[in-house]
Amino acid sequence: MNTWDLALVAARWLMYIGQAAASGGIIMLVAIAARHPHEAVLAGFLRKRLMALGSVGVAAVVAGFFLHTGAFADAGLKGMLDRDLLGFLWSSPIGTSSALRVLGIALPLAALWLASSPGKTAGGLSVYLVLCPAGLLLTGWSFTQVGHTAEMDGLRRAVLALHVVLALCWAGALYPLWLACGRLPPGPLRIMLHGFGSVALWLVPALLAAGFTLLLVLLDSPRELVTSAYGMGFTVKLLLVLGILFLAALHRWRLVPALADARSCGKLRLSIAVETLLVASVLLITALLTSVLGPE
Amino acid sequence: MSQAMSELRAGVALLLLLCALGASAHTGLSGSSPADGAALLDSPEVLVLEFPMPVHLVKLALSPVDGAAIDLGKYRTAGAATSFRVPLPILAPASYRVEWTVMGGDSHKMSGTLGFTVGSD
Repeated sequence: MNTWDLALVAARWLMYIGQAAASGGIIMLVAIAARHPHEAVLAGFLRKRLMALGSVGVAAVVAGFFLHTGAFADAGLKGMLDRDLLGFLWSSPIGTSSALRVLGIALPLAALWLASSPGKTAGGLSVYLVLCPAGLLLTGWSFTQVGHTAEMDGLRRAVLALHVVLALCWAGALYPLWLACGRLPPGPLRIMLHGFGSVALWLVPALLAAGFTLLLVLLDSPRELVTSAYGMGFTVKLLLVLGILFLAALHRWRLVPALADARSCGKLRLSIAVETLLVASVLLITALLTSVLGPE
Repeated sequence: MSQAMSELRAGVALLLLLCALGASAHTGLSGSSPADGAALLDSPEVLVLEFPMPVHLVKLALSPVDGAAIDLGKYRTAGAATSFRVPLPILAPASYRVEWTVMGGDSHKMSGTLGFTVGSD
């Protein structure tokens, strides 16, 4: 692993964070704004943060494209601006996926910007309903253009797109939930988290089913989970996912029903912070698996 | 706190191990003409590179071991292929080194080198 690989992993990780903010983050913001219209301060604060995280994601996609060029040129930093290679990579799947990824983040961010403009509140929801699904679709599609599943059939690539979209929706929802834990009173917070838990009841099984399908497709045998670097990466990811599932179950059946005062809200907030840290680690491992490590 | 730090260290160590192990995860050249290490009496007319899977040829450089790079003209193709034929100029007797870089179907970079000798060198 050289400096280019390290930089590409970092760019990809930041891209995932931006994509999570532009998908699950914005969906949660819309839910908060719709169910708690009096919480304008929380929604406004969250809107600014999601806009910033999404912008970081767009910058990471653009940086990733130039880093790919630099890695292929292998001629130092100036290789990132090699015009021939830039043109070549732009017309390759790397260019296609980069364009789709920029649009996939930019469209939900445009909805965020349009809906927050003065006097646009009434039309806000329809803007989100058009631009956010379009952004999710483009983001999911972008992942089918490159990576180890790019050479597989349409069905497997569709499974990957589904896995990515569901994972980003879940990952992106955590920050708004954490923020809401510190701002909303226990009653409305419990209603919101109960709603999120109900969605998670179908989202999580679908996410896991798609993830395990990909695991079976990408690994030749379960032994690879402990014998190859790629498989070991998957093992670490699976362990982290188990930790996330444990916390999600803890939230749904213990911490959310117990929400009654500031102390119980604080406990839940801390637990969501730990879950966010685990999700960030999963995204980092995924960045490694998709950038540096490969199936045998 | 110290337990958390040791767990963090263990996590970082595992990540570094994964990175170190993952360096050679992708497949490389399946054949070439001239073959790696070949000793030729005459200058070859073409350089052929073969890969087990379709790839994009991104970079190709040919140079005498202690000399400047030889211009190979336009060698990139629009699509991916498993075999690339690059016409060569007449090569003076010397040892030559070929450096290739390709983009695999998964868009990852693969690179390698091969060497051959022309004439009595």
